[in-house]
Amino acid sequence: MSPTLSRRSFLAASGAAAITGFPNVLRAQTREIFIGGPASPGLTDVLFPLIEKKHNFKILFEGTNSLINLEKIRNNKDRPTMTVTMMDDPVLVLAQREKLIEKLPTDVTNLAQLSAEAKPNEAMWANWCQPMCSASHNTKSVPHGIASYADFWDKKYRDGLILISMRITQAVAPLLAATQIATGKPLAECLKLADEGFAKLKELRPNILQVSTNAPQAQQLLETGECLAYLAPDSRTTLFRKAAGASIDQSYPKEGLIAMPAGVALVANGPNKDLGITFINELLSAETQATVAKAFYSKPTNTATKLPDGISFPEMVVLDWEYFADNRNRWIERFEREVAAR
Amino acid sequence: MTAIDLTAAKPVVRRRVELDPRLVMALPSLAFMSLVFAFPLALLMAKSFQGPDGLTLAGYNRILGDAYYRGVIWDSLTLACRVTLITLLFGYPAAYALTRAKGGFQLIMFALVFLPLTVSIIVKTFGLTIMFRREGILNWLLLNTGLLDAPVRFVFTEMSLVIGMVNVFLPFLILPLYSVMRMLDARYLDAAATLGTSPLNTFRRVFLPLTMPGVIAGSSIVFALSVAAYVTPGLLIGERYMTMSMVMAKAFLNFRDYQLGSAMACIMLAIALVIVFLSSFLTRNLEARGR
Repeated sequence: MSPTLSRRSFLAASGAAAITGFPNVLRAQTREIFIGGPASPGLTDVLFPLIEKKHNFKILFEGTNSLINLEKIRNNKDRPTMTVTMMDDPVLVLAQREKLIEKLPTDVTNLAQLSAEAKPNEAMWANWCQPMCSASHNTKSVPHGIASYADFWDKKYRDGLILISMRITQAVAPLLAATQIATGKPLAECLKLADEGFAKLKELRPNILQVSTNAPQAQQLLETGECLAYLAPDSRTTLFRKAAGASIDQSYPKEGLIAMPAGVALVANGPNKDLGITFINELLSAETQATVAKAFYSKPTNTATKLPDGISFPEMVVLDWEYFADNRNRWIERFEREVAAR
Repeated sequence: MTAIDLTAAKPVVRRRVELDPRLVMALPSLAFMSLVFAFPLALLMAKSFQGPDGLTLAGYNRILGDAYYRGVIWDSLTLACRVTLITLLFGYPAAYALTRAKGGFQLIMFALVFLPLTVSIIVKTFGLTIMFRREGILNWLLLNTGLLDAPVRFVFTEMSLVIGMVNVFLPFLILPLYSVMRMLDARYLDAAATLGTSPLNTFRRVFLPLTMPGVIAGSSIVFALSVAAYVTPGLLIGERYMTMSMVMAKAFLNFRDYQLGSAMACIMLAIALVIVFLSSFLTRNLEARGR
């Protein structure tokens, strides 16, 4: 007698399969990782599709600022959902101290080609690019650009500057600029003298239109000419908007530009670690780094990268972000009381 | 013959638990609010007294003993007072007009009050920033009417902040006022007129006192919202005008200083409670006088 399958038993079997095994089969087939990172243009439209296509996995991305990203990792510490995090170095320092990230393994073979300063704390994380940070100016109002940071203290900038809040990492640029003017020391030596810069930064108050935590709003005001310069978004935003036709440009003051730390790290005990390693390794490869330079207007950290034609980057000042992280809260307080307050 | 046990035939009296229907109706929302409001609030309050060595008032000392934070509280309160006062000046006549309007005109007025509530605060605030620019409509209007010779800076000023907040919170004053004005018995006004009272006196001695519960309710809502505002000050003036909410955000997000953040939150809560008690006291007082 041949076995027969009644409709009822077929439905029961299907139901049992659906409840027990089948979704696991489906899940096993889905290769995806969850990445938390900045809301920068170029990530989801250029970089991630490239990596997804090359390595056949899906990237689920949530773009927000580094501190919120850190808070999410903290809250999910026992059951991490994120595999890779892309944050600023000062926030990665905190993540490392709280054991929220793990050291990049030797499987990330492209680490070998990275410049030494792009592998902080013995490759606890890697810097996947170095955006330039100085100031951004409106090219209609300031057609000849800014020759020196000292220009911003001039009366012609009265009510014409937007300063980024000290709560945002890029605020280190105006602080170091003020320190440089106050001490006369090279920009590279100014971080540890930053407390001496507050008095000079306070003198900038008549020229400050707003102290902003809202980068898109500040960017919009710069582009419309409501303010003359914005201190300091980094080149990821400024040159991206310039390429889109906005009347703004990156300022190249003679004192120098600061290399912003765009880090990438593995979340401790995150799921699909192998995919995370693949992602980071690809991100740091010479080939992808050339795309990074073009799409993010940032200096690649892989020394073997061949820059696309027409793209070059000046030497930049690399800061001790651990020192910055240790002093940041104190500087936020000083900044709010001495510079931002009415 | 068998005796019949009459006691067995007695009806059984079952005691029924009488539940107040009002309590039953309020129970779901009470449970919800306990879970999502009272419980987290209790945790927050507990945090404000927590120090590394046990219970402490250090969080409160840090705020109330620091001239900067006292200044922040003062600024938040004075801002809320200014916003409430201006909202009242605009809202009272608007609510009156809404009460008196008829048919299509009333519908249009209602739309004008309600529609802004459907637009996100962020959109409204960004819109205001565009309006306040040097090349914005406000400067254009003032220049073209000859009131100004050159564009004036409006963005990121206290004036723009107050205008923005009045714009956001105006409906929250008009609506409670409207409901009170609408319930007002028109015969009181007729009686006053019949007795020869002038329209100004009728307003001053009859209409205004009778609508005071609405004024108090609306003003309390606007004041509480203004004191706690975070998005609008953040977008319209930024860190140059620190408010209590901004300090809380900084403490929780940047500093992870839960003691400072929760102590500031509790101070804000205390202010809100004072407003609620004061407004209900005033309303009861007025009602008692009315009787």
